[in-house]
Amino acid sequence: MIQSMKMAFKSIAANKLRSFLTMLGIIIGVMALVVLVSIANGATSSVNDTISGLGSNLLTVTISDDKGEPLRLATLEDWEQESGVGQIAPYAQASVTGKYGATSDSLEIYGTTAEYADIQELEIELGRFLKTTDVDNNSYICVISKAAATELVGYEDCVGEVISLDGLKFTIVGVLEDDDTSLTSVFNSSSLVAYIPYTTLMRVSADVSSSITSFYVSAPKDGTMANTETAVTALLMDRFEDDDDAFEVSSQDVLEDTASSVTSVLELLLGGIAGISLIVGGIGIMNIMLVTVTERTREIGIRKAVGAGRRVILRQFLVEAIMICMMGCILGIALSWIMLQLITVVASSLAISFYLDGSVVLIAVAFCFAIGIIFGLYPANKAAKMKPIDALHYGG
Amino acid sequence: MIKLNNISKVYNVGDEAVWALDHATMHISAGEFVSIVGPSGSGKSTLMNIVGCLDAADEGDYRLDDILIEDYSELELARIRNVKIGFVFQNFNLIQKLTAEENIELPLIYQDLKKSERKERVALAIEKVGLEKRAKHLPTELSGGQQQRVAIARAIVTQPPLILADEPTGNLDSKTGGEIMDIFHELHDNGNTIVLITHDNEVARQAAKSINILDGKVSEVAL
Repeated sequence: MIQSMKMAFKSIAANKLRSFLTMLGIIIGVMALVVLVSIANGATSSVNDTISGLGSNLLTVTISDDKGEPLRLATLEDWEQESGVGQIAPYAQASVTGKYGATSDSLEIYGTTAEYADIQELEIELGRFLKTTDVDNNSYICVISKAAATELVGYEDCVGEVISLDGLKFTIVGVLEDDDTSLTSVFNSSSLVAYIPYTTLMRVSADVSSSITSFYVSAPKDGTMANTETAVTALLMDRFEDDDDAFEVSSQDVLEDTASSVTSVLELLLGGIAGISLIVGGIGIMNIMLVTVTERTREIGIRKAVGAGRRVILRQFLVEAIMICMMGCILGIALSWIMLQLITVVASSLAISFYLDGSVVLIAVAFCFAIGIIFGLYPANKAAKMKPIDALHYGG
Repeated sequence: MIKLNNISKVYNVGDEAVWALDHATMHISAGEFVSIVGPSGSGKSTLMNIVGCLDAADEGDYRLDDILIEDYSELELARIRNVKIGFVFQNFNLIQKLTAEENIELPLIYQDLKKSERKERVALAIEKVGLEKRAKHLPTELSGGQQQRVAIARAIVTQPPLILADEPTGNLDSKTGGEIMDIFHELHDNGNTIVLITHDNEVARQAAKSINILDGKVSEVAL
């Protein structure tokens, strides 16, 4: 075996340019496979990160038919005590015109409770978030996004300032940090946002009443999302006459599942294309190996005359084909690594890291080995089957 | 050692059947120096190929050391060629990209010998043909006579009892040819069986026994 490898190496080294050109097919194929799949992987994990950053630990509940038994703030407070349920934050939304001095801008306002900040993992930059007392007292206070602070008020440190929302005066009690991963920033990135007590929003907006139609639920610290979903669904079923059309409970998992199925299709597709180019490379190898076998017919005859059996000749040419494949594979992987480093640097603004995935490398190596065998076998067998006497007299 | 009994080999050239060997019978004993003489096309190469287990006869049986060759598989024949027969060809048949040393080592590689033992045997064979100084050279860097010495070294490196030489001096000038013949005589003196195929009567006369071949028919002539 070692002899076969030595001989194969010698023969590859003897025809450097030809060997390299043959390898090129494999190199490009491996690079296509590794780079494309790694990019797909990087994109997948980046999408997954974004989605899980949206809060995979919360449920969104929307109620479409309250059956004359609308949910009140007090109901939700009761439910928070149920086992399996963490925090609950109702929310309602309205669009208003915000004014500060001479500036005015359109604002999205969310009416909610103190729990919202925890459930959505909002970070407070200055001041504080809503408190339960604010909700109880229908206070005219608001917590605004950093963008709202800079664009409407004109500066960030605006706690204590009073802004008007649709003509009503609200005191700013807190400014939020920018959060790139929050749902609002992903789907509504340009808008300015303010959070006010739910009860206050009921007075400001005609569309929002004391009956709550949307709320978020988080899991308790030591509980799982699945348990919470079961618990909340049970509570809702109980309340709404076992009619599961009256409400909808959705989790981020659905989004994650969809995204991952999309990206895995992408991965398969790219991998498939790369696989095709590897097969084309393999055909190149077969072609060159056939030429090599023909060229070396005399040599095969000599080897057979001095005692090489069929199997030894088969092994020699097979090892040579596999060796070309594996050398191409290693070069391809090395080049892929360099390329991924470059892409990561060039695409640094995307904040996606493209790394060489061990499993892709393994697949590439296994695939190359298989190609070496599949496309090396026919030429090697052709060499092995030659009659020594015909091979010896080949070409004179 | 070599017993050919009614061996025939027929090639079909177009519609015509050409009898390269026509019921040839011959015996060669161990330790003999035999020349097989005939003009080109007489069937002597076919005879050598059959004796060398490179080709199979269509009819008749061939025994080498009392083993019936036709019973053997290709793998076993490769083994027999490796152990029992050393080939020397007219056109040397060296592998061009291997050095003299590596060419000589080739049959030993197929015997799965240890590297140290291979080196030892190669050195011995090189010494016998007097090529010590050219061992690391490629065939293209060697003269015809030197290449034939490499081929002889390769043939004797496994210490086979039988040396088959097909026109070994055919591509060489008479002086070099003479030197090569001296090596064969030496091998013969050391107990090897030598079968020399040639069209040159001068060369043939150096053997103890000569076998004529004409149109595939074999006849023994005393010298």
